[in-house]
Amino acid sequence: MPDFPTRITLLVSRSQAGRPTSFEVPVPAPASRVLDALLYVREHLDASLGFRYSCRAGMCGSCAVVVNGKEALACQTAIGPLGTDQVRVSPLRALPVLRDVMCDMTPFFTTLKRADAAMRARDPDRKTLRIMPPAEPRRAFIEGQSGCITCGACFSACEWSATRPGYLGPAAMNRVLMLALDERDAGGRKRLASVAHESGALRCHALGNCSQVCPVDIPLREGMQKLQGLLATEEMP
Amino acid sequence: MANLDLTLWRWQRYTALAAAPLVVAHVVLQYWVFGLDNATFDAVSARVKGGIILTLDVLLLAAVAGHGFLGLRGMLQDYARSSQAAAWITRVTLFLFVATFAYGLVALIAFL
Repeated sequence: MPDFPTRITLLVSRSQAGRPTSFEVPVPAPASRVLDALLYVREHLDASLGFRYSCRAGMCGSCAVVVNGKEALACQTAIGPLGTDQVRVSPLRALPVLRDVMCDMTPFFTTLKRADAAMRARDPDRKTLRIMPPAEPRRAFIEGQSGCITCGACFSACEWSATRPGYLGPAAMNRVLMLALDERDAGGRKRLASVAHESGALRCHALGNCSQVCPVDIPLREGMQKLQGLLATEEMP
Repeated sequence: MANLDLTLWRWQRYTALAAAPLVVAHVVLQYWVFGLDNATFDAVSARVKGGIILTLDVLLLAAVAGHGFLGLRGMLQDYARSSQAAAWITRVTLFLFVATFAYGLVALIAFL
């Protein structure tokens, strides 16, 4: 007798019906992912089910959803370890729902624009950005904050994203921190001004929901504390 | 307003750093250096007139009141849904800080 559920009830939020739809889905192996279950539904039970995916390897961030109350990548969330045969899939919080569990990511990406979280190379004449190899000591400054796949999970999990309009969110502020510490970026510490306000780092209470849901394990809460430490002492323009 | 937010946020940190040693100093002085038996009006008045104790007390008053009301401002701003509401919260809490500090000064002046 296998020690994982071989069939699950997949409860998926539906925008048309206004209430979740229940599907009975087979689970061939404990490592079967929530994305596999969603694909099974679309292929065999309901072709109208709306969800996003792309790389299926945890690198693109497209399939971020809420699984049993916690933000996660559907392609990386194995069903066996969930420990239940009832799997609830909902759309990300704090974002408008386009259909079922697909969200309009525009508000999330807008926070990156508002925080001016794009790199500006210090040397504009270079054709390519200087590579900072892993062994380089200066890389340690940015290592912890790098690797964000902009999935929006942290934005969804943050209590301010849904309740405070205009809040920048963990992803945008993490990016600003990384750029402020990256010597290749022309903005440098002056970038901190873009988050030094009540819709930015000053409002973070360090609850840490963001860190708990980040699929690439960026220590977002610690990053926010590091950011606040810089804001406490850096001269602002 | 953005610069004011950052300034007040920084001052909440500074007052915390100041309040910690001042509170410890206050407790040590009151309980161990001077002793509870010396908590009479005349004894306190003599200490305050000395200058050093008065200075410590004023700094303690400013740090603790400042930290407390800045913290209250921060908490209340969690619930502000507009910039006008946030501005009023700032005005009221800063007024309360000034009023508390002034009240404490009046109380200290009574010992002089």
